[in-house]
Amino acid sequence: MFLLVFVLIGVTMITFFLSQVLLDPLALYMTERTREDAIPAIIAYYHLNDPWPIRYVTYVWNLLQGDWGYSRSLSQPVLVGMAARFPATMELATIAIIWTLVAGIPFGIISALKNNKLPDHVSRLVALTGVSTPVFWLGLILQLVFFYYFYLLGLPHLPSSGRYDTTLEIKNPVQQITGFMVLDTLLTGNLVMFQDVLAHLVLPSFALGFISLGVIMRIMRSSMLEVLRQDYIILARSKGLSERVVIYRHALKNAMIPTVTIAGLAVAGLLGGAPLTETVFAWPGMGRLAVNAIGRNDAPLIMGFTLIAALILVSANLIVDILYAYLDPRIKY
Amino acid sequence: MSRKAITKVQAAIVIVVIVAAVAAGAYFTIPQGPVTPPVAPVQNPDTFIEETIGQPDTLDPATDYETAGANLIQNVYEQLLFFKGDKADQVVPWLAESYDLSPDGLTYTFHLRSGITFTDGTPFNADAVYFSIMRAIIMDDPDGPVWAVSQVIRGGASYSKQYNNAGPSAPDGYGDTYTQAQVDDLVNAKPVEVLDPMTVAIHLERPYAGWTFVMAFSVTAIVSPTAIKAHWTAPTDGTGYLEGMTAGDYHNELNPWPSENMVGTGPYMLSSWDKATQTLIMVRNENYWGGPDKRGLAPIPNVIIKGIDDANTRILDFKAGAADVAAIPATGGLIFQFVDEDTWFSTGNLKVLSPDYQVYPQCPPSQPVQNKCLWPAFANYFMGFNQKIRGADRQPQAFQPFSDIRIRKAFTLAFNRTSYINDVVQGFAIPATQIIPPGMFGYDPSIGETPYDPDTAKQLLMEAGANPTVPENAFSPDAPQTVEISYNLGNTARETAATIIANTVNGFAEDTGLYARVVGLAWPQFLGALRARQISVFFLGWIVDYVDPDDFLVPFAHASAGTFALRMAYNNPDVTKMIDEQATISDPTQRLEVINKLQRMVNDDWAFLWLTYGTASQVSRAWVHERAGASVAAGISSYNQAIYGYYFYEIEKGGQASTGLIQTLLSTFQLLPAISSFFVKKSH
Repeated sequence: MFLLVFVLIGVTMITFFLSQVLLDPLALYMTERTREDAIPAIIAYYHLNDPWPIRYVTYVWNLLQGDWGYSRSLSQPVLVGMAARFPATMELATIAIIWTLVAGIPFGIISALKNNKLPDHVSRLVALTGVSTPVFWLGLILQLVFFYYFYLLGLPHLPSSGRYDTTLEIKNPVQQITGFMVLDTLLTGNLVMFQDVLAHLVLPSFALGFISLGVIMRIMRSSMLEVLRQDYIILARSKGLSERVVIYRHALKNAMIPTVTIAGLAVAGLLGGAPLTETVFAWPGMGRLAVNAIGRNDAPLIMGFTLIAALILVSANLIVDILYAYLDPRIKY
Repeated sequence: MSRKAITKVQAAIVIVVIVAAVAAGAYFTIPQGPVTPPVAPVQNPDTFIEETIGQPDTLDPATDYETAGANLIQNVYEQLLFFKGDKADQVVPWLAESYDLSPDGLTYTFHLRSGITFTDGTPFNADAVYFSIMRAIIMDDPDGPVWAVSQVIRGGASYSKQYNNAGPSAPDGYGDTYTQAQVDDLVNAKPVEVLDPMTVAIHLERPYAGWTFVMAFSVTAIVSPTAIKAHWTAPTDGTGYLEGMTAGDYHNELNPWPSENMVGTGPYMLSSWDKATQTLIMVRNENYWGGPDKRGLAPIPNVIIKGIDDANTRILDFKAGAADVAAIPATGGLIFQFVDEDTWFSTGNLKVLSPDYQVYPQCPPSQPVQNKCLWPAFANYFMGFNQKIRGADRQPQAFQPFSDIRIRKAFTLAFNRTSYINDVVQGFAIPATQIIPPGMFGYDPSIGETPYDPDTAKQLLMEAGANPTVPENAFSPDAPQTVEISYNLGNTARETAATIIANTVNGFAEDTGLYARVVGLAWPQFLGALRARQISVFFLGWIVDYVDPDDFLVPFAHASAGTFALRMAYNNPDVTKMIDEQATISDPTQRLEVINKLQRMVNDDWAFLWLTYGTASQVSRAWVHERAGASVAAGISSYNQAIYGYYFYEIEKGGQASTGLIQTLLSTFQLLPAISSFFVKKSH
């Protein structure tokens, strides 16, 4: 736990140094149009002439009090802007990770059991493709095929981008309850939009999950192979347990530990927002927000996003550690 | 061992087969040339969908100073005057029925149209005009457009923090240094005077030829006082205010409502703005008064403006008809998915590749601009030579190459503009020759572009190095010097332009002793260094605010008020004097004479390297039409440089939507050629 705090302090220091000490902080508050005579006032207002340690302490103190700064590109406080986008990222990441785990773990197991046979080759090929495909390229190809070519051929086509169809939403307004549109449309019985929202999730969640799929399959396969060589598996088999029990009760649980680690980190990565996927699919999440913030030179927003991403990663690590203890009773904290 | 070898072979075969299958599939599936599908039936006939990049900063006309917000403001709000058709240099009475100018040139009296209401049901009248213009002045956004009003309206310059050098106190919030006395002084100066409920007078401090354009500019848009007052609370800390407006509240802290909501008199109303999904929805104003030409209600009931960052995604949506117009960048050649590349480069005409789309301008009826059939846009992209470069210590450095006119001239002649225009911006630009862009009053077509002349450039540098103006500026092959050309990282066009010059200069640097180095800086650094005057050669662009030459002449060449002139220490007292002088001349012929003269003086100083002027062209779905005789150019088949984005009121969507079985069958039948061409590809 203490380590986590240190990590977070480290992150705030790095972002602060990069944007406020190494660069001219004044540049962050100026535009091409800012007049010369406004500059002394900007310096005074943001205390830019104070020594940087004082400015850093002020920054952290404000963070702790929930003041993460004001985003000029959003005309909103940073926390408000990020909170508005978190559900979209969360929804996309959840769907992506669910299908990745549902597909990745069984294929990894099959791959290990049918070692060096055709199913193994196929799943290894898929895994290799997954880890080596750039996500933006995959996203564009998916759009091209399932949106545009299907449209050209007169087939039902998936939407190219966005979270829902705006023209449809004008006629079937979605009431915001949780911010998760799949849930909100279901809760309000808005089935037209429920279908539409699901359709919009297909391509981005596939693109997003495809990378993690490869990693999870490969990890699952190799740890399964390793576990299957252990003495206790030989023992289990020799005492006449069925192969099913051996695999699913004895081997799988132990082989899951590395997979859980990787999956935990993958979830964390996805929750922090996937800048490329969200940009390609115009997904209104935190990743796209971060990309826009960089383009608009919005330092408070970039710093806030970095911190949130770090927070998510650190918490995911913590959860993974707790899961270890469940999977392997020998691990205690 | 042998078993394993066999499986390896098997694995290799499987991999090869799959890779080959994927590659073959991709080859046959992806069209190998322009596929020409049949003309598609109109989609979403009651909604116009625009896909673009970026979101408005704010929707408040008093503070918005960028194109995305201005696009909405022009469709929801109206000004007393507005532009005529595609003429950016002609304004006509709009919310005003007529106006007169007093003989001394100081007072404009506007006679307002009666019977117009805001979309909240309240009437448009002289009080609304007073409220709207006073609100912009009193809020006094230092980064906003209001300077255009404050600079010349009576009492404006002495009230505005931009002009009295006090500086705003709080860039992130509302200012607390505006006292009630200051606001009262402004009010007592009577910049805007309500003469009767339908007559309003505006008083200026000096005659100003550009004033009618300011009255057509979005900053003077007329807002509903009732709607804004309803969301306003008075400041309690002693800050000055008038009812409904707080001095210095330019970040809308005391009244955020107008930055996200709009109540105007225009043809559309804002329905919603979702910042997260970057979606703006406008609906038709069902009580619209019809504009001065009484053209009824807007033909299209809904307008959706979506921000989609990825150009490829926008283009796919556009191709599939999910968008009626989309922002298609010319750099990188994406535009050539819609217009024929060979025709473009050989004739300068835009020839559309598929009947599903239309592209404008077409010549005729449009006129080619410098042999290209494009609309000129009021934007000037240039490089500035810093005549007083400061070092890291913020003091002027010893070596000041650009204080020598020969070196400025040499760098200008070292730029191959033709290569830049063709290779970097795919020909979608016209060569720049002076401060004022073509189409704007004051542009002088007789000024030619500077040639690409490396030999003369070399000669000039040899002379400048051997016989320097001051000893510190000397350079030679034995004592070489280096000049840095800076650009902001990520801007490929600027990077390439810098490289073009640097390559030429470095080509003969062994003889001259002057080298050029291209330096990429992150945007904050670039801006910071620019402000500190540390950049030797910089790139920037200037886009029109209001269509008066003043809006270009001052920032470029006015020694004390010019943003760029200050940043490059360009100071020609005669030019500055003439800029001040031309702004007060109301006779166009006399004014033009002064402007022509001063522009030539700036060029003779070789102070700037003119790169290109902005241009515009428009690809849209063929089912979109501009109404005949549009009162203001809609941006589809005609274009007005003063209009940002589209004027949706003059746009209609033609044809019928395909609904029902017969249409579906019909469209399937129509799709057959597409499918057959798909199979034809496969049989190759």
